[in-house]
Amino acid sequence: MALILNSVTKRFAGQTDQTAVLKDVSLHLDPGASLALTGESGSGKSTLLHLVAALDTFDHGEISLNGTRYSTLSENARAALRRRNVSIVFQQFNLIPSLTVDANIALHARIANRYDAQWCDQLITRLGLRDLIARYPENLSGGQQQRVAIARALAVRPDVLLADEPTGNLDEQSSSEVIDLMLDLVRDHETALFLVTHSSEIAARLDRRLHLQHGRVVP
Amino acid sequence: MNVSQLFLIIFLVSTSANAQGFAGLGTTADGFSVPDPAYQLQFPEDHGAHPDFRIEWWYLTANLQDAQARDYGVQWTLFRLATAPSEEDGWNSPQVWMGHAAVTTASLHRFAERIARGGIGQAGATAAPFEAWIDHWFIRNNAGETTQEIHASGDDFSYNIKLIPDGPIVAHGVNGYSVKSAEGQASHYYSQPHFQAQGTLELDGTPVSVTGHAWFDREWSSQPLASDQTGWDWFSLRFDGGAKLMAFVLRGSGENFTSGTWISPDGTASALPHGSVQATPLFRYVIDGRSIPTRWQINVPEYELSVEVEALNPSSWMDTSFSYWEGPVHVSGSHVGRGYLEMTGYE
Amino acid sequence: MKTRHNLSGGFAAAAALLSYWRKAPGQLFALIFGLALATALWSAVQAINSEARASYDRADGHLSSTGFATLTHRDRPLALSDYITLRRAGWAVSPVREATVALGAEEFPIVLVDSISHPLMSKTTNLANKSEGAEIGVRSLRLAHPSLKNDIQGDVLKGSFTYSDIVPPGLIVADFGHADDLGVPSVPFSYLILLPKQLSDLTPLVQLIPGIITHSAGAGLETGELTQSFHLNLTAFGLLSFVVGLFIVHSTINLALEQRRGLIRTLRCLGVPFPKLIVLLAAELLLFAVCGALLGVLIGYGIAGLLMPGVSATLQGLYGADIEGSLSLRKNWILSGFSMAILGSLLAGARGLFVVAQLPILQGPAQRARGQTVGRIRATGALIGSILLGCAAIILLLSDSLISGFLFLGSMMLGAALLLPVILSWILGRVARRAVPGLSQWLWADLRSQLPMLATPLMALMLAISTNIGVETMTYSFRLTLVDWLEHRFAADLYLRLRADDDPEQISAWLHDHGATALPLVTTVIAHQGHEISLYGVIDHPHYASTWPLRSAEPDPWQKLHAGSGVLINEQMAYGLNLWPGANLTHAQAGELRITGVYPDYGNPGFQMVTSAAQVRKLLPDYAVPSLTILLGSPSKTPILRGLSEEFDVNSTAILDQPALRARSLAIFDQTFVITAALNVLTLAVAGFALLTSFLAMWGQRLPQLAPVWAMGVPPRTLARYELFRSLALTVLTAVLALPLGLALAWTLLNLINVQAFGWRLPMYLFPLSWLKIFSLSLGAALLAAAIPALRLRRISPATLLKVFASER
Repeated sequence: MALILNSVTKRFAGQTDQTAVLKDVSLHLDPGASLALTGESGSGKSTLLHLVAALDTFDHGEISLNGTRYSTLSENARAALRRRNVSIVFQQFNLIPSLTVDANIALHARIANRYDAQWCDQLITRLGLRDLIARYPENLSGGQQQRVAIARALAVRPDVLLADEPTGNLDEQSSSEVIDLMLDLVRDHETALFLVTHSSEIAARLDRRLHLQHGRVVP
Repeated sequence: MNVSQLFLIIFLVSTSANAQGFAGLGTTADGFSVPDPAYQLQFPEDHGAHPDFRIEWWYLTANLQDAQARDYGVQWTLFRLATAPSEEDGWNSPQVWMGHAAVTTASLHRFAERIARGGIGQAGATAAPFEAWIDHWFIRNNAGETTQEIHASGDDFSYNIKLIPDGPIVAHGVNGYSVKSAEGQASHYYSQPHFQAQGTLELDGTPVSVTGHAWFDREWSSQPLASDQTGWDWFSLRFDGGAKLMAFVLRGSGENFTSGTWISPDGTASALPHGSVQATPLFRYVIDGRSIPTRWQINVPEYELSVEVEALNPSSWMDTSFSYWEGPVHVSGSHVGRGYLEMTGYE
Repeated sequence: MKTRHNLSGGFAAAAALLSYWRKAPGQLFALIFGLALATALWSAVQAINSEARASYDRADGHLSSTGFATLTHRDRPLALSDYITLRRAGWAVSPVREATVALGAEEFPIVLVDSISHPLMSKTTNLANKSEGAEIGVRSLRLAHPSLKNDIQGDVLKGSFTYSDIVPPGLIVADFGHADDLGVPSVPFSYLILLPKQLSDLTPLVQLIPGIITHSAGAGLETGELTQSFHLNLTAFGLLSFVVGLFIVHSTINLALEQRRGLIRTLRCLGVPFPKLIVLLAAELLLFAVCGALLGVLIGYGIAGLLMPGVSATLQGLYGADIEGSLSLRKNWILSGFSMAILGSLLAGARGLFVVAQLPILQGPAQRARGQTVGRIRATGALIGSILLGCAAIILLLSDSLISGFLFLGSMMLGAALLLPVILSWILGRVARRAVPGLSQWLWADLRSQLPMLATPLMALMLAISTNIGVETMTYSFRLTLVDWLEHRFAADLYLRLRADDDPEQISAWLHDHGATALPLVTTVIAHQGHEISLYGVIDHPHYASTWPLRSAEPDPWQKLHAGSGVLINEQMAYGLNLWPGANLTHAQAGELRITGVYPDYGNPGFQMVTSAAQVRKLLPDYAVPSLTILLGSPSKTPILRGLSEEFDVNSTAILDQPALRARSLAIFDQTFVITAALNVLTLAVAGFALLTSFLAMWGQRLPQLAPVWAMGVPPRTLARYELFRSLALTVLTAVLALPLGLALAWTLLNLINVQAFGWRLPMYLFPLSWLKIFSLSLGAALLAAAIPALRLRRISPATLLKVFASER
C-alpha cells in the first residue's frame, strides 16, 4: 500500500518530450513516510503535486495510490479520489472566506461524508485553533490560516497529504511549528506526506528528499 | 341550435323538470285534453291547431326526382308544444312552435330549425284558409284552388313545392284514434298520402326542378308515448302499384308496440293492429357514436308484403334541438317503391 | 449507502456555496430585489390588463344589445306587426323594449326581451344550469342585477326575480311575457336587434317597412380598439420593463458566479464532482427565482392596486368600458409573473453557468481569465447585436404585419443594447487618447477598463431610457393628436340628438330665429364590398372646412364635397379598402364617388364617409336626421337650452355640451399619463438600482486600482468625486445614445404597430422637454447609485487601502 509514480511525463500544450514540464518522474512513498520535493521555480514541483492530487492529467507513465491507477479513472472517480484519498494544503490556503474556521475545517470531511467531530476537535486542539474557531479567515494571520488549511486537509484522514509551499507565507518561527505539527500528525496516523518546498532546511527534516530540475528527478 | 335551447324547450314542454321518454312525450297529461276514441275528425277544423293538447305536428315528406332521375327527399315540419292547455293572444301565450326543414340527396343532408313563441303571429296554424307557418316558412292552401304550397329555407338550401291532391284523406287507427301502447296511450292521427308534388329546390344557390309525390301527416296528443317507451321507427311507403303503407314501431323496455295502416290504390284504409307488422333492422350505421338502423326488413303477412327498406342517405341525421333521423328510403322485394323513414330515441 | 454519501456531501457543498451570500448580503438583496422589481413591473401591467379584460368580459356577458346592429323607424316607433312582418320575410330580428318598472316605491329601468329570439339567451340558460333551482324558461325569465336585491325584493305582488350579474348593473331584464305582471306596456319597441347572421336573398328591409333605419353595431367611442390599443401599449411597456429588470438579474447572477470562482475551484479540489456543482448552482438560481417571483408578484399587486383606480377611471371614462376599480388576484397573471421570473433568471444565469462549466479546474490567476472571457463575450455580443439590427432592417423592408412589427421592435431594441458596450468603449478610447496625460488620462482609461463590468447595467439603463423616451413620445403624440381632433370634431357649441318625432326643419328654423345656426347631419348606412359604411351628409357651411381635420386631401376638398363631386372618408376606410385621395369608389345606389380627402377618426372601428346632405337626400332616400350641430354665435347657451326644452320638449340628456365633453375627455385621458409616468419612474428606478448593485459589486476590485493613485497623493475626497463623475459620464453617454433608439421605438409604435393593429396612424410629435426630464431622472438615478460607493471611498481609512499592498503577492 503506497503511492507509486512510474515514469510520469507531463507536457503542456506546445511542449515536446524534451521541453516537457515533467520527464520520466518515478517515486515511491509508503504510508507514514514523508517526502520533500525541492527545486527551482518552474522546475515542475507544483505540477507534480497537482498530478498526485488528481487535479491534472499526465501524458505517459502511471501514478497509483493503494493500487488505484490514475490513468484508468473517470473525471468523477478522480473527484472521489480527491474527496477521500488525497488532500492538499495550498500555498494560498484557499479557505472559504464565507465560512468560519470550524466550518472550513469540517468542509472537506463533510463533502467526503467522513466527518468525525471528535477527530476535528482533536485537530483543532493540536493545531492550536481552539480560540479561533468562530472567526472568519479574513480575520486570521497567515500562520493561522495555514493551520486551518492543514486541519481541513487532515480532517478527511487522507492516505496522502499534499502541501504546496505550506510555509511560503510564514516567518521562520511559524514555519518550524507548522512543519513539526504536520510531521507529528502524519506519523501518528499513517498518512504519507508529500511536501513541496524550496527550503533546504525544511526538506532536511523530512524522511526523504527529491530534487527536480527541468522536470527531471536528479539525485 | 344548441343544447341550451334544447333545455329551454324541454322546460317549456314539461312542467315537471324531468323529461321522460323522447322529448318529454312520455309525461302525464295534467290539465291537457286526452285523445277520445269517440271523436270524429272534422275538416277543415282539424287542419288547424288544437291548443288544448300538449303536442301537435304538421309533417310533410316528399320523394322527388329531377330531370336526370336523381332522388331527392324534402321534409317540412311544424311542431306545436304547449306549457299549458290554453291559447292566449299576445306575449303570454303558453305555446311554442318549432319548425324543421330538410333536403336530402344520396350525398347531402341539409336542414334548418326555427323556434318561435305563439300568440304574436310569428308562428301558428289556421284551418280555413289552411296555413301553418313559422317565420317565413309555410304550408298553405293556394287561394281558390285545392292545391297547396310549401316553402322553407336555411343557410344553404331552400325549396318551393306545389302539392296537388289526387286521393282522399286517410284516418289511421279507428276513425283517426291511433293507439300507441298496450296501456292505451293514443293520438289523433290522419294523413293525406295522395299528393303529387312539383317545384324547385335550391342547394348552394343552384336551382333544380323536381317532381314526385308527397305525404302529409297530422297528429296531436297530450301523452302519445307510454312512460317506458323510448322512441319510434316510423315508415311511410308508396309502392309502384299504387298501394301505400304507414307503419310504426314504438320501442320500449318491454315488448315493442307495432301498428300501421294499409292503404289500397283506391285510398281505402285498413288498420294493422299490434303484431301484424314485423320490422327487423338489417344494418346499423354509426353517426357520431349513435348506432342507427338504416336498412330494414318489413313484413306484413296479411298483405303478402316482404320488402327491404334502405335509406337513400344513411347520414340523414337531424341535429336539431330534438335530434332524430329522418330521410327518404328505397323499397325493394315483393313490392318496389319509395318512402320516408323517421327514427327517434337513438340519442 | 452511496446515495447517502452523495447527498450529505452535496449538502456540505451547497452550504459552502450558499455561505457566500452571508458575506455578500447586498448582492443577495440586489439579485432578489432586482428579480422582484422586474417581475413586479411585468405583473403589475398584466394585473391591470387582466383585470380590465375580465371587466370587459363581464360587460360583454351582460344581456345588452351593445355589439348588435339595431333597427328603428324614422317616423314612428316600431310595433309588433313590424316585428312579425320582418320575421315572416325571413329576417332574424328580435324586439327589445326599454322602459321603467315601478317596484315598491321606486322605479327601475327594465329591458323587455323575447327570450326565444334574443341572440344572448343562451347565457341565461347557462345560468339556469349553474344556479340551483333557478327556473329559466320563456315566461320565467325575470332577471335582475344583484345590486338591486335589497331594493326590489320587497315587492312580493309582482313576483320574485333571479339575481344574476349577467344583467348589466342596476337593470332588470324580463321576458315580454312578464310585461303584464310587472305593469309595463309591451309596446312600442325601443328597437329591433338585427342579428349578425342572416339568410341571403331576403327582401330588403326598407321595401318591407319603408322608413326603417339600420344602426350599425358599436359606432362611436366604445369599448373597442382604443382600449385594445391602450392594452397593447401597456403590454409592450411591461415587456420592455421586464427586460430591463432581467439585465440587472443577469449582471448580479454573473457577478456572484465570478466572485465564487475561487470557491468553486476549491470545492472541486476537495472532490466535489463538477456536474454536481453545476446542478447546485442551477438549483440556487431557481431558489432565488422563486423568491424573487413571489416578492415580485406581491409588489406588482401593490403597484397595480395603486394604479388601478386611475386605469379604471381612464378606461371607463374614455371608452365606456365598465371596469370595477378593485383588483383581484388572478391565476393568469400570477402564473405569468412566476414563469417570466423563472424563465428569465434561468436565461440570465445560463451564460454564467456556461462560462463556469467551461472553466478548467486549474486556472491561472482569475483576473486574467475573466478579462479574456468578458472580452470575448463582448465581441460576441456586438456581433449578435449587429446581426439583430440587420434582421430588424430586413423585417422593416420586407414585411408589414403586426407580428413583424413586434419582431422589428424586439430585434432593434436588443441589437442596439448589445452594441452599446462596443460603442462606449470606442468613444472612451478616443477620449482617453486625447485627454491630458496624467490623472485625466488615467481617469478615462480607468473608465474604459471598467466597461466590461458595467456593460450589462448600462445596457439596462439604455433600454430603460429609450423605453421611457419612446413611450413618453408615443403618449404625448397620442394626447396632442386627440386634443387636436377633439377640438375640431367637437368644435360646435351644442350637439342635439333628435328623436323620431322631432322635426329637424322646425327646430332649425327656431334656432335660426334666435340667432343660432343649426347644421343638420343626415345619415344612412350603405354596403360596399362586404363592408358596412356609415354615410354622413353635411350641409354647405364654412364651419366644416374650418374645423374638420384632414389627414390628406386633394385641393379644395370641401368645395368639391358641397358641389357633390367628392367624398371624404375616414382613415380606417382608407387603409381598409386602400382608397386614397384621387381614387374612385363605385356604389350601386350612390354611384361613382371620388375620394377627395381622408380624415382621422380615432377609436372608431367602422368605415365612415362624408358627403353633402343634398347628395345623400338625392341618391339614398333611406336616410335619417339623427342630430343637429348647433353653433351659438352671439346668443348665450342658457336661453337656447331653455328655449329648446320649452318649445320642443327636448330634455337635457339629448343635448351634448361640446366644450364640457371635450374637457371631460381630456381630463380622463390625462389619467393614462399618471399611469405611464408612474411606470416610467419605476423603470428608471430599476435601471438605477442595476447601476448601484454593479458599483457595489465592483468595490472590491476598485480598491487595487485606486490604492496606487491614492498612494501617489490623490486624496480620497477626490477619488470619491471621480466615482461620481464616472457614473455621470457613463449615464450621459448612454442617455445620448438611447435618445435615437427611443425615438425609433416611438416611431415603431405609432407608425407600424398601431397601423397594423388598428388601421390608423398617429402623427409623431417630438418633445425635447420630456427628454430633458428623462435625462435628469436618469442622471439622478446614476448619482444616487454612485453616491454609496463614493461616500464609502470618502470615508475610507488608509489602513484599508494599505491592505491592498500588504496582501499583494
